[in-house]
Amino acid sequence: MSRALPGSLLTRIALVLLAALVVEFIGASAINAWQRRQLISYEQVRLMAGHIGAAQRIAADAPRDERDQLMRDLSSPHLQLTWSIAAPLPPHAPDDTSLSNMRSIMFPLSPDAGRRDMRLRMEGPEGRREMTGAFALDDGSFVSFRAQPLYDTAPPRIPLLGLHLALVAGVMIAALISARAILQPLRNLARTADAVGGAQAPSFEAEGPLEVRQLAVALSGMQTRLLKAIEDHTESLVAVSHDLRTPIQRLRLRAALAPDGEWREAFAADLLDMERFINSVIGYMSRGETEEPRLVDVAALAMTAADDAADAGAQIEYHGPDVATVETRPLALKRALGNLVENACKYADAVVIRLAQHDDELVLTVEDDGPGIPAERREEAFLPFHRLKGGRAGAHAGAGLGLSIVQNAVAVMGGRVTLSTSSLGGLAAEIRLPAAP
Amino acid sequence: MSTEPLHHIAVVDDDAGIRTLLVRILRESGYEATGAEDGGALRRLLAERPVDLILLDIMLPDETGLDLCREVRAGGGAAVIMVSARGKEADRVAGLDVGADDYIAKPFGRSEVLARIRAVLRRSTSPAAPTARPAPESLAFAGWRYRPRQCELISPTGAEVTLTGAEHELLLTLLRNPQRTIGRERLLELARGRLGHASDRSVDVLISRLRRKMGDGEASRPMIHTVRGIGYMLAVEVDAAG
Repeated sequence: MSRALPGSLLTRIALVLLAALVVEFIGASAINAWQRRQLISYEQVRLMAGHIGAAQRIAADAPRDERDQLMRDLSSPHLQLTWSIAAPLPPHAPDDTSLSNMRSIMFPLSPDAGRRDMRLRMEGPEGRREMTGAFALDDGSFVSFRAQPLYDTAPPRIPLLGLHLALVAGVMIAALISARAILQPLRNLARTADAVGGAQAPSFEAEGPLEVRQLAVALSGMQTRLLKAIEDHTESLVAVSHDLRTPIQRLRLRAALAPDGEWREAFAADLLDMERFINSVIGYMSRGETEEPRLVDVAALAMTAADDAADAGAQIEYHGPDVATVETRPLALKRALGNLVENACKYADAVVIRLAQHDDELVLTVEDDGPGIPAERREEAFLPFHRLKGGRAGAHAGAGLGLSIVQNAVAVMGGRVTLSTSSLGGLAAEIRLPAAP
Repeated sequence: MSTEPLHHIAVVDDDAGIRTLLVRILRESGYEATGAEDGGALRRLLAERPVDLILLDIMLPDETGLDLCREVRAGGGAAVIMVSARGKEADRVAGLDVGADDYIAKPFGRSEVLARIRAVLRRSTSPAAPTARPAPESLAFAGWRYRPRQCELISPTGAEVTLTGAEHELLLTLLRNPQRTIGRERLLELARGRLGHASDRSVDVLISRLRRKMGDGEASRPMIHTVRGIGYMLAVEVDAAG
């Protein structure tokens, strides 16, 4: 429905209702008119019978040579009258019960001679018949007639009902379609609202009736305000985290200057925890950054992740091809893989990164021999700030954001991440990425 | 016993605590060190005494560390290590673009910063690699492309190949000395700068990792040659651009 139509939703609905009622009224009138046409046949026959009866009397009273002309004069387009000496139709058999209805109508309207010898015949297709007949006169001549078209069938009840139902159904459907079209802008709005919070902020189209346009503008404003609030919060959180780095830097340097002792080691470890926590939070918050997909050698990426972890002291291996090129987002993948490897090294002794390249997807798995995650807790493990217990002795607790970061990063890449049990005995975290060859 | 004068390092950071602590750590490690709280203080210091290396924080109050770095490098002389916040890749690249020799991400540890300083000082005083020559924008070799500042390696098929920090150092050294043998010792020093701990095996491991990622292991004519008993060499031509 374009803007050319009246603006308000109420007005449009009212118009549709009005149109439906008018069409229903017109349609019902048409059906009634048709029905009436069916009913006319009784009255028509009576009139005709009266006409024929009068014609018989006139013919009986008139001299024989004038009768033919008189009959012609009395004819009308629907009723042709003629006079003949001989009978144009065979006589009516006594046991012939057809046209008894007709006969009973015509009987009282004919003079005596006509009553005695009335011959009627009906021809033609159903509903549009032609009746011919002949009435005897006293002197043995006949007045005959032909009446057409003649509707003799009673209005059929079932089709009549069907017609009415069809009309109602047709009007209802048309009205529903119109109503649906009127409400389409509302549906579009709902769909747009569903997309809020996703990868891109959708734009609310201001279209349709006045009320819907107002709603679109309001929703658009609300989205802008919400996004701004989120952005402000994120910015301040990131700023706070950045600012924390300065005191942490000082503490690290101070600890380095402190006299040797186990105190220093523990202190440095705690500071590292704090720093990792901050990095984790910042990493989680900055998931909104957009990155263009490019060609990446995922095998090299996975090997590097394994090497970096190994250089930091972990027991980790890479199993897979030397080269695996796909189009994806390298920063997101590094973030996802990095977090999975970090988790694995935190909870287990031995870690394996496996890469398998199939025709339409890439499967990257991080397996470890740690305690794993029981099946019933796997879904909640992805929740942000949700920590699982049971890290290795001496391992830091972390912010509980690792798996949420992985999930967000994998979603940005259009893939899926699932947790299961590894053949090594611990957790197997599997990332599946769609891969165009 | 060395008769060499101690290297003089300037620490530029607006936080007094960090300045003091760093200066102390550097002095304890055998350097001369002076703190400067902003660009003006650094300029005054440079005018008074020679400075060998500057630890420069990218976030300074009155002017950005980048502009300051550009100014210092234009004047020649001191090497610069940019101090940026961790995770800000753009800062790192920007620092290298304006001529910094290296970068380090805050918060860093004692051993980390000392290793970086050692590496940069060694590079700047080594006769083979003058300080004034910054890394070129991009290096092309055998269909591969390497951009040192972004630490980006692109394969002939256009795919980005990820490397560890130490692998980047090795590759860059090989690329800056094409068709010249580089001794294992030198490569070991570089590896130590990034790895913190490096054994003799480290260089071999790094080279083999590089080869694997560059598909060199299977090639009939590998790009990285082993020169037995001495070291390694990049056997292909290198085109430097920018």
